[in-house]
This record gives sequence, structure tokens and C-alpha cells, in this order.
Amino acid sequence: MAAFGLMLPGGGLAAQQTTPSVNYNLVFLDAGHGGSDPGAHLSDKEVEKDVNLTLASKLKGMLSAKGLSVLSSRDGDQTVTSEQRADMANHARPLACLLVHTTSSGAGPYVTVSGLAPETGALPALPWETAQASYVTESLGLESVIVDALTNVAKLKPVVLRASVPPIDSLTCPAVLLELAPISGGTAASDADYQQRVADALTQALVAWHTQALDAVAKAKAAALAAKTPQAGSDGGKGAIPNSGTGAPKPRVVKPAPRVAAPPGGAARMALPAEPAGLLEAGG
Amino acid sequence: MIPRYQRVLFWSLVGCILLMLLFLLRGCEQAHKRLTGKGDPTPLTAPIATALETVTLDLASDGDTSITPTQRQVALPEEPTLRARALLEHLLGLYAAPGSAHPLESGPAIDSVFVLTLTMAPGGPPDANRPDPNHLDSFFGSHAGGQVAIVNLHGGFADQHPSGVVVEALTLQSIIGTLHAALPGVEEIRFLVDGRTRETLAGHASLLRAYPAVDTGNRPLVPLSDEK
Ligand SMILES: [Zn+2]
Repeated sequence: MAAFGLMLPGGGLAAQQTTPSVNYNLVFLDAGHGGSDPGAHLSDKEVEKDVNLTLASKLKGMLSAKGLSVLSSRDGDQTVTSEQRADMANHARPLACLLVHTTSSGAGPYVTVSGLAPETGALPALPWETAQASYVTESLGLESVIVDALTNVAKLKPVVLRASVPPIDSLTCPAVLLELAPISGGTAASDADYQQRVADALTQALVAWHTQALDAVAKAKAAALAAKTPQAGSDGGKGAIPNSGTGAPKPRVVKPAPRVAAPPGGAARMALPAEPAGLLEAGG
Repeated sequence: MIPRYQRVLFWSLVGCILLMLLFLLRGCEQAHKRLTGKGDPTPLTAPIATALETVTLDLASDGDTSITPTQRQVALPEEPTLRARALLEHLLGLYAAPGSAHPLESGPAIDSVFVLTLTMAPGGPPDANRPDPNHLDSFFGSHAGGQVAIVNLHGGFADQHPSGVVVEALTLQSIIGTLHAALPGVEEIRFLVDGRTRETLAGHASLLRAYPAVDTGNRPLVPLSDEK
């Protein structure tokens, strides 16, 4: 984490005119599933969507108490599509995105970053389906902070992995997915004490991430002032601070046409030759 | 009292029946020997599988979130797509066996596997939503001339698959790693379910993205797509 400056959300100075501001005070919390999508069946009585919401709500309260703003993908049992979740997050430009899932198999917390390969070059635009590729390096930085907190604060043994779980690949923020599994002694992910431990650790991690981001911004500003660059100090607001740091410039996200006109299969259709057309057309 | 002539007739008929039965049995035996006894095992239909060969299966384990390459003797067809299908069916069949480290429901899992060679230039047809064609690599991982494998899963397999980030990711990694070992020319793997696109396997792992074909074995915590 020493190289935090390299992982800072946002682009370099050259990109400031075109890059939207990151809302450094905002965290996006996504309680997985909801409404018609129950998620996994954790037990006879519990479905994942409810346990996810309980944990996310707990975390929301704790983050708010620490002075951070929280944008939730859902506050009740609504059906929210992956695209709506990504839309919500990407418009808000949060400092961090945390996706919450729970499971009845495995053990302890699984901390996941998108399985996309990091995209380091400057792109003129980000394809919606793989927008996270430009943020994977930052997401790994956030993951590292979260793993530290789960290990040292919650005294758990987090396992890290990479997987593409919608909507994570479309998020334009440092994004980490937590899947909480039972721990030894038969403590389920729905256990209130277990959730409290995890929420404590996540709160500490996100507060630390927030502090580091502000420090890095302050350092970048100081460096710019020292170099007598007139671009420095162009913002006076408290919440939204323009992007800084040395990461690659972040281009705008290109969203495909509405799904009705171009369903997810559209990409496959474009990428493939005509041979299995019948098969692929069936997907539309 | 039954007359003597009737008893004689009855036992004569019984004797005839027994003789005919013996004759019939011997006839059947000879016919069976004629059909099978010439040492010619050629079946009526063409064989699907050939001799046993050693293949590498990337076996998933839920306990330690690992993928372990394992050598197995499997009889596989020659034709590449039938071969890939049989290989994946064998792999997923192992997960349905008792004592599996990554338990899945039994039943047919793979409908078909297609291997396609991209003929389209990276630019492709004009599309307002697509950015600079020079930067499509991250989405359309393969270039013209590269091979893409499309794994068409049975709907029943996806519907019965356990729901969870880790368990679903392990199934996909296992399939990807096994296909990569069997078909090293394939650069990218995509998934369909019953011939249609589907957002996730069982609520978590994306089936919409193109997965780079990489060795997923022994690197459980390392991204699927870092080695390209
Ligand atoms: Zn879930």
C-alpha cells in the first residue's frame, strides 16, 4: 500500500478537463440480489438477499456515523438489475464500491476483485461491459486495505480471488466484492455478532481508504503548487475533489444501446463469424 | 381313473415338447456363437470413443478454493469439438460423484462445444457504441485468426448449480483450464446456456464475458486473465 498514489482513483492532471470528479466522500454499497432474485438459499429459513441487506444496512449506518456518505443500490427487497446497479454507481462517481454477498458454503470472508485483466493504457472510451478493467489496479489496492482490516480487526482469515460477478465488470470505481461464508463453530453469515465484526473491519478499511485518498490529493496539490503549476487549487468544494494522482487518465464510459435493442448476446454476435448464427440468434 | 392310452399320449407329448425345447436352445446357442464367435468386434455404428489417452483435468476443490491439474485416462473422440464436449462431460461427471471436492448435481451438463476461428478484423462492422477499434482487445480478446471456443451448457446444469461467487467461479475456472489444456489453440472461451446468452451461471459468475483461455490450475488466488 506504499504506492497508494499510483492507485488513486482518477486520472492525471492532463485529464482533468475531461474527467468527471470523484466524490471522495461517497461509498457505494451494493447488497446483492433482491426482489425476484433471492440469491442462494442459505438455510430453510434464510435467503441470501435478506442476509446481504442486513449486513449492508448495518455497514451503511456505521459508515454514516464516521461521516461518509453512502449510496445504496437497494434499501429494501426491490429487484435491481445489474445494469441499474452499475448505472447508479457510475453516475455517483464514488470513492469505493463494495458489493455484499453471503453464502452457506466455504469458510470465512472471500474478497473478490473483477477477473478482468487490468487495462493500463489510455483509452478514448471504456466499453460498458469491461469498464472495470481500467480500475482493477485500484480495486486491488482497496482489496488489500479490506483484507488487512478483516485479518487484523475482525481476526478472520480472508481468502482473495478474482471473479467476474455482475455488475462488477461495469463499475468505474475501485470495486471489491465480499462474499461472507460461515466460520467454524457453525456460525452462519447471518449471525449478528459475526456480521458486526465484519462491518467493524469494513468500516475501518473504508475510512482508511478515504483518508489515504485525501492525503494523496493533498500531496498532489502541494506538489503542483511547489512546481507553480497554475492548475492546482482549482477546486474549493469539500465533497467533490477533482481527480488527481498518477494513474492513467479515465475516459468516458461508452454504454451500449438499450438492452432491448442490443441484448447481452449482441457482443457475441458481433465478435463471431456467421457459422453458428442460428444458435446465437436464439440468444437474442 | 385316466385310461392308459391317454397317459401314454400325455407323456409322449411331454417328451416331444422337451425335445423341441432342447432343439430350440441349441439353435439359439449356435446362432449366438455365429454372431459373436468370429472375433470381429465391429459394432453396427461408428465408434464414438477411441482408445484411452492421458488428459489433464483442472479439478476444483471448494475446501481450499484451489484448481489442481490432474492426469486421467479417458477415451475421447478424435473430432475436436466432440472431444472437448466429451472431456468436459467427463470433468463435470467427476464433480457429481460421491466424495467430490466440488459437489455438483449429476446429469448432462454440456450440450455442445463449438470451436470457431475469427475471420472478422478487430474493427468489425461499424457501430456507434463501439469505441476505437484499436482498443477492443480487452473485450474481444481474440484477433482475426484466433480461435474461440463456445461452451453451450444444458439449462438443467446451470439451474441446479449451487449459487455462490466462489463455487460458480471454481466451476468456470475448472472448465476453462481443462479446455485450455486440451485445445491449446483456443484463445478465448464464451458460454451459452441452451443456445442462449445468460447473465450468470447461478446468480454470480458472469456468463456474458469472454474468458481468456489460460491455465487456471494451481493458481487459485490469481486472476484468470492476467496471463494472456
Ligand atoms: Zn450472491
